[in-house]
Amino acid sequence: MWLDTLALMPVLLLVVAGLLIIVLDSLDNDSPVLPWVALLGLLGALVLELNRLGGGGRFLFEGLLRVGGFSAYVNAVLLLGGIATVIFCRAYLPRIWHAHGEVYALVLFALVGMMVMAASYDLVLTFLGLETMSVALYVLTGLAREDVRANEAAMKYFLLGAFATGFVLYGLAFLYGTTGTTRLDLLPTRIPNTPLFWVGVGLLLVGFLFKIAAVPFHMWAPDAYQGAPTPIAGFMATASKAAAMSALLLLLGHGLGLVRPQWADVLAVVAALSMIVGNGAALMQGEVKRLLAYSGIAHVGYALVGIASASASGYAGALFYLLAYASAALGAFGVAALWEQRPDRQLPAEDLSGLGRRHPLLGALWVLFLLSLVGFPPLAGFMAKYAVFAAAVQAGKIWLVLIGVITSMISAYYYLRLCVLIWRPVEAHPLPSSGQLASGVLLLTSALLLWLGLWPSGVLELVGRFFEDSGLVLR
Amino acid sequence: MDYYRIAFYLFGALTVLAAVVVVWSRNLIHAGMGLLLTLFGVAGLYALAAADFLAVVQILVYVGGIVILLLFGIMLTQRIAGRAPRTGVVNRTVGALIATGLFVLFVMVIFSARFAELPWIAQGRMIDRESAPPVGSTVERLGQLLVGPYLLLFEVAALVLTVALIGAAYLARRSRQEGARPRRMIS
Repeated sequence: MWLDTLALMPVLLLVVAGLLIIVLDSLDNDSPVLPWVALLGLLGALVLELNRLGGGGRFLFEGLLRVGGFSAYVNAVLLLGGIATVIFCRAYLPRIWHAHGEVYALVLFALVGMMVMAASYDLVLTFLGLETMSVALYVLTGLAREDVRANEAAMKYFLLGAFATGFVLYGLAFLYGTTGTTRLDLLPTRIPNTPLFWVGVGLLLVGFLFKIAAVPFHMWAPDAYQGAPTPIAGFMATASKAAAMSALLLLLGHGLGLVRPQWADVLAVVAALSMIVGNGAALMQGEVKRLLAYSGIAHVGYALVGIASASASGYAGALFYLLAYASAALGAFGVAALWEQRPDRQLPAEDLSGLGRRHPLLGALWVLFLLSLVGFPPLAGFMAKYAVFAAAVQAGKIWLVLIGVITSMISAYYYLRLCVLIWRPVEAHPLPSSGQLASGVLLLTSALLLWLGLWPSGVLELVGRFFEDSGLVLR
Repeated sequence: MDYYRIAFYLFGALTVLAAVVVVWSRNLIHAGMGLLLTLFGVAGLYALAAADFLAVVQILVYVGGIVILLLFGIMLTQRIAGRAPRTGVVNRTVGALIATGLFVLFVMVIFSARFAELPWIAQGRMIDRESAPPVGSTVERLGQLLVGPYLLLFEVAALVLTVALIGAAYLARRSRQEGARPRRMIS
C-alpha cells in the first residue's frame, strides 16, 4: 500500500501544491507567488509522468487504477494543458481584476480529478475523478462573479452538468446491478445478456459525451466558453475533453472491448454529427471564443472517429489526436487571451484585424495554430486526422471518413478567414497583456505542432504500444 | 402479504409521491418539505435492503442536515420565501415525450432483467442458502473497507468536498476590489 501511494506521486504533488496555495493565499491574499507554486507542482508531476511514459502500465491498489503507459501519456497531455493554463491565467487574470489565489488551486484540483480519470480502472473512481474535475470547472467558469454572462455560463454548465452526473450514476447503478462489478478489468467476462445492461451503458455514454461536448450533448459548450475567463475556456476545451475522452476509451476499449460491434456504430453516428454540427455552426460565429468552442465540438468528432473504428490503430490515433488538438487549441485560446481587451471579455472576430501587423510573431503563431486545426499538411493536425481516418478506412467506415474530409474542407473557410483577418492594414491596439512565460508557452506549443507533424512516428509508435492488437488496453 | 412487502411499498409510495410534490409545487417551502419526505422514504428503503448504516447516515446527513439547511436558506432569504419560481415551463411537448419515453424504456428493461437469474446474484443466493451467516451491523465492515481497499476512493471523495468548499467560499464571499465595475451591496 505504501509503495502504491508512492507511485501516485504526480497526483499527490498537485494535491499538496493546491493545498499549499490555499494556505499561502490565506496568509498573503492573492500573492504573486501562488502561480509559481502551481507551476512547480505541475512541472514536477510532468517530469515524473514523462519518466514512466515508456514503461508498461502497472496496477495499484489491487487493480483500482493503473499508472504508466496509457495514463502517463494522457496525464502528460493534461499537465501540458495545466501548465499553459496557469501561465495564461497569470498574464490574463490581473487584467480582469480576478487574480485570485483560489484559481490556481482549483486548476490543480481539477487536474487531479482528470488524472485520476485517465488512470482509473474502477468506474466509481472514474466518477469521483469526474466530479472533482467538474465541480472545480463550474466555479472557474463563473469566476467573474459580477458579470451576468459569466453567471449565466456557470449556471448553465452547472445545471446541465449535474444532470449529466445523474445519468452517469444511474448508468453505473444499472451496470453494477447486472454485472456485480464496477471494475473495468472484470467487466469483459461478466457482460450479461439483458437489455438493462445496455441501457446502463447508454446512460454512461450520455454522461461522458456531455463532458466531451459531443453532439447532441454539446449545447452548453459555446455559452460556457464565452462566459468563462479565456484561459479557463482553453483549459475546458483541451484538458477536460482529453480526460473524459480517455475515460471513455478505457470504458469502451477495455471494459466493453469484446462487444465492440454493439457500440462502434453508435459512436460513429455521434462522431459524424459532431463533425457536421460543430463545423457547420462554427461557420456562423462572429465571436472568437464561441467559434473555437464549436471548432472544439467538431474536433471531438474527429477524435471519436478513432474510437469508433474500434481497433488498436484507431485508439492510438484518437490518443495522438488529443495531443495534436490540445497543442493547437491551447495556443489559439492563449493568443485570444493575450489579445482580448474589451471590459466585457468578448473577442469579436473584427477585433483581431491588425494583430499580425502590430505583432508579426504572434500573428504567425496564430496562423500556425489555426492551420493545424484545419489539418494543413506539415502540421500535427494533418497527421492526427490522417491517423484516425486511416483507422476508420481499415474498419470499413468509409462514409465516416468522407464526412470527415468534407467537413474539414468546410472548416478551412472559417479558420482561413481568421488567418487573413489579422493581416488587414488596420491600426491595432498594443498587446494588453503579455509576458515572457506566455510567449514561451506559445512557442513551445507551436514547436510541438511542427514536431508532431514532421516527425510523428515517435509518438505514434509510443501510443500504438499501449494497445494490443485485440484493442484491449493491456500494456 | 408479509410485513416486509407492505413496508417496502409504503416507503416506495412515500418516496415517489413526495418527489412529485417537489417537482410540481410552486411553493418553495412545500417543495423543501417534499424533499424531506422523499429522502426519508429512501432511508426507509435502505433500511429494508439491510443497509442499516446507510439508512442512518441518510437521515442524519440529508434529512437532518441538508434539507434543514435548505429550508432555513429559503426562509431567511426573504426575497424568495413566499414567491413562486419565475422560470416558466418551456419545450413542454418535447420534454414530455422524452420523459415518457425514458420512463417506459426503464420500466420495460428493469422488468425484463430477471435479476434472480443474473450470474452474480444467483451465486450469492447459493452461498446464502448453504451457510447463511447472520447479518449483523454493517458499520464495522464498511469502516474496514473504507480504510482498506477503498482508501483511495475515500480520499478522492474528500478532495471533491474540499473543492466544493473552496468553490462555495469563493462564490459566496464578499467581493474585494474585484471586477471592472464596483459591485452594489445587496441589502
